[in-house]
Amino acid sequence: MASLGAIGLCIALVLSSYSVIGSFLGKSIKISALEESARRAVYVLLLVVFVSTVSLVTAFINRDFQVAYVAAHSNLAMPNIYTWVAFYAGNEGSLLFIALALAVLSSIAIRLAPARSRETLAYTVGILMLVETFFLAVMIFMANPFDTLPLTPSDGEGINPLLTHFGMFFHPPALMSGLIGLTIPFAFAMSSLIGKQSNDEWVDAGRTWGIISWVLLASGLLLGSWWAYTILGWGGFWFWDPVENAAFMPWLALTAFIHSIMVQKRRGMFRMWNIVLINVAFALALYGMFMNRGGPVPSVHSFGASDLGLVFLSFLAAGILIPFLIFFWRFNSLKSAQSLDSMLSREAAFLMNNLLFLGIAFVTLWGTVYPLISKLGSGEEITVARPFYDQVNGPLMLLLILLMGIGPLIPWRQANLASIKSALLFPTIVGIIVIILLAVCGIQKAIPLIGFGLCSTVLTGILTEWVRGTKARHRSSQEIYPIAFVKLVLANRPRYGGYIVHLAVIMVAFGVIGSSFFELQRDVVLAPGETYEIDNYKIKYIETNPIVKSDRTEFISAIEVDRNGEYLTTITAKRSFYPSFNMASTLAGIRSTPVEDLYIVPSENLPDGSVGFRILINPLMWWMWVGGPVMILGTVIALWPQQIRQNTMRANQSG
Amino acid sequence: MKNLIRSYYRLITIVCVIAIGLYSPLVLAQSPDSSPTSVNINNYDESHAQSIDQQIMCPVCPAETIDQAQVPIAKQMRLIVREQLANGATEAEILSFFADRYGQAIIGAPPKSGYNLIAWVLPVVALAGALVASIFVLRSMTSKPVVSATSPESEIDSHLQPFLEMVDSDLGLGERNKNGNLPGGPTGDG
Repeated sequence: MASLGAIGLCIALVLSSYSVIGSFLGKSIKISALEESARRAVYVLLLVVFVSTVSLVTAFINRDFQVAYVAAHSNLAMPNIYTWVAFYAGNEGSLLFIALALAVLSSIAIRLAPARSRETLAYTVGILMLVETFFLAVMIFMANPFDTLPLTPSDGEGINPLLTHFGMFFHPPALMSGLIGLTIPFAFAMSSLIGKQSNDEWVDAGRTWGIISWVLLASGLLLGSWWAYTILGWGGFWFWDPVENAAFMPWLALTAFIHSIMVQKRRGMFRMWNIVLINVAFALALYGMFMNRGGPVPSVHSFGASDLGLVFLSFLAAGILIPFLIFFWRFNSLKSAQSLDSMLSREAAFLMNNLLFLGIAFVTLWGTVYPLISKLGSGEEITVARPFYDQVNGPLMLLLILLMGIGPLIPWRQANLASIKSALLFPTIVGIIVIILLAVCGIQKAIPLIGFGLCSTVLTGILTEWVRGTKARHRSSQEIYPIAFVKLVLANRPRYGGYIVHLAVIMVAFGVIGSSFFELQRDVVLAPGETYEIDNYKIKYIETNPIVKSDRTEFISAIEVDRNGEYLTTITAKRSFYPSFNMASTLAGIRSTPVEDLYIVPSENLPDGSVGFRILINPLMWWMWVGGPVMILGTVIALWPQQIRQNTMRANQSG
Repeated sequence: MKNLIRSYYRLITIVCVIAIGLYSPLVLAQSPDSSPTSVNINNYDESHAQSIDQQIMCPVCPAETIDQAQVPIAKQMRLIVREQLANGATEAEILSFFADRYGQAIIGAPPKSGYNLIAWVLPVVALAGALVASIFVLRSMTSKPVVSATSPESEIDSHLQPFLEMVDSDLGLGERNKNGNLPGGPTGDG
């Protein structure tokens, strides 16, 4: 079975190379049959990569330990369900996953390419397959998941215990697909640039695939935070760890892009800027994959350190340099079709938004490279970690929330200062009232006060618009309010989908501000039967039951929780020890409510039967996790095809 | 000369006393029977201690602060923070205590002084520069004469523009239009 997979990879490499050559050659010597065959090679490639994937999955399910990768990432004790996770637990498997994801996304993107971008589709195919060729070649020549061992071991090494968590079923795949998915808007942009078109042809595909990659990355980041929160056992969700940063930066650049592409879509402006943005995002995505898979920086993610670093770095350099040259080669074709009507317009607000997103990305990149600069400059070893990012990026994020409140209220082209003032008046008053109320309630810290104030302003701004729109619709069509609201949303999906995503961002911001500034954390050692009081909770440690399993010993602690003297709930928290890894993993017991999380994690089991617990009260954390599905909902609404509008577009184009 | 030698000796004595004073909690913490709970220190602010923990990196676990890390050395360092706080040390004193022993790299952020000021100042300068630059770019875009060539997309937009403006005005954004009723939304599928 494994040899089938290995052969599959080789065939895929031949197909992708053929597709690259066929696309560019067919386009330059104008043989459309060659172009078409190169395009169809993508679909065949998808099939072949899929066969290789199935073959690796089969090797895992059969526990074929002759395959080195299977032996390194699974063992007989591993339940079959973890095959999904074991598949990408190491470099080789994740490369195969990335190759598969790119093949799937490319096939869909090519098949459904909008009519306007057909003209240069051959270049798009060529660029996509060039990237695919890179991943296939790396796999075949450097990190082949189908390499076999000279001797078949009787059992494998087993899966990294930290990966055996529900979040791990989705966090790595979402992030990897998001990072590689960025290749698609990039390929459409570059092909339009190479093809000497007026450079608006790629905008629809660029926006759609930009948003798809964006939501994949966003879900991946949120799931990763959730994983860290429940399993890493310190009560936080974000490290500003170098690898997290590497996934965060392309997301930031992409967020800037999906806003700014709207300006080009609506007004034919920012052409050059959008090309720059998607290039920056693509370069950062390559950097992200390099950090994740090359493993140059020690971090919580270094599950598979490797010597792939240099190859990835060269590819990253090429991925920056070549588009840069193409950009200057085609520089003159990138003039805006229209000029800006006013500094006070949605267009200008979007540019400010871009500035802030790129600013945060820059600070994050700067923090990542500064230790190196310091070492070269002054010879001093310096750490740039969470305290730095919190202090520098925190205020920038507050500014972003502010802009999120103002931006959507400013109309396109030219805004009337008086109308903006009147639109902003009510939300601002609500924000100020919230700040005053919270201050009266005893919150003294300035940053969360400002944060909550801004959040309520944005929230009020969005809800006011929804209410006004629904009322207007109700007035004109006599529909009852719920129907009027649904139809309002459906009538302008990009706009209202965007609002829903903004709502989700506010929910996440709520969780971040609440838990970062108001968490209550205590480390205590409790003997069985002992109690500890924290806030208005009384925590009573009952007992710990060890359960010996084939690969680990689980210590499950039961904790009884009283609130205000009344029994509330019983929480179980788990600490598992894996002898073969000499490693423990924890699973926190969490009672989550919209108001606050009660979070209990056993940090050590002492020999006398007592347990060291870390107990946290994390206010508003719940909102952060609920924000994720809301964000996905908003994205789906924003992307849902608008049949009628498309029909009118076609009619307009033909007429 | 005599004076000089005497003051030299005095200096050495002071340094030794300080060094012993500073090291003693470390030695104490490393003795096997002292876990964070066995020493009872109460007169300090736990949340202040935690905010200090969050600024000190764990020497053996990559990218984790001593607040996060669960390894023994992180626990010992947390205890030192609490002992020093209880003894009346300030935050700055505690941080420099650790920086002196483990090197500046043990602190999670570069110091805001000397060469390392660049780390803090550059992002602010870069952002301010970018802001100024983008305002200039926007200015130049406003003063430019309108290029007449419009893409099909913008033509469609101009078809839709009345509808969109109607929605805007209905939502109280654009100029008010007295008859700005909504004829079933901009796409007419209502």
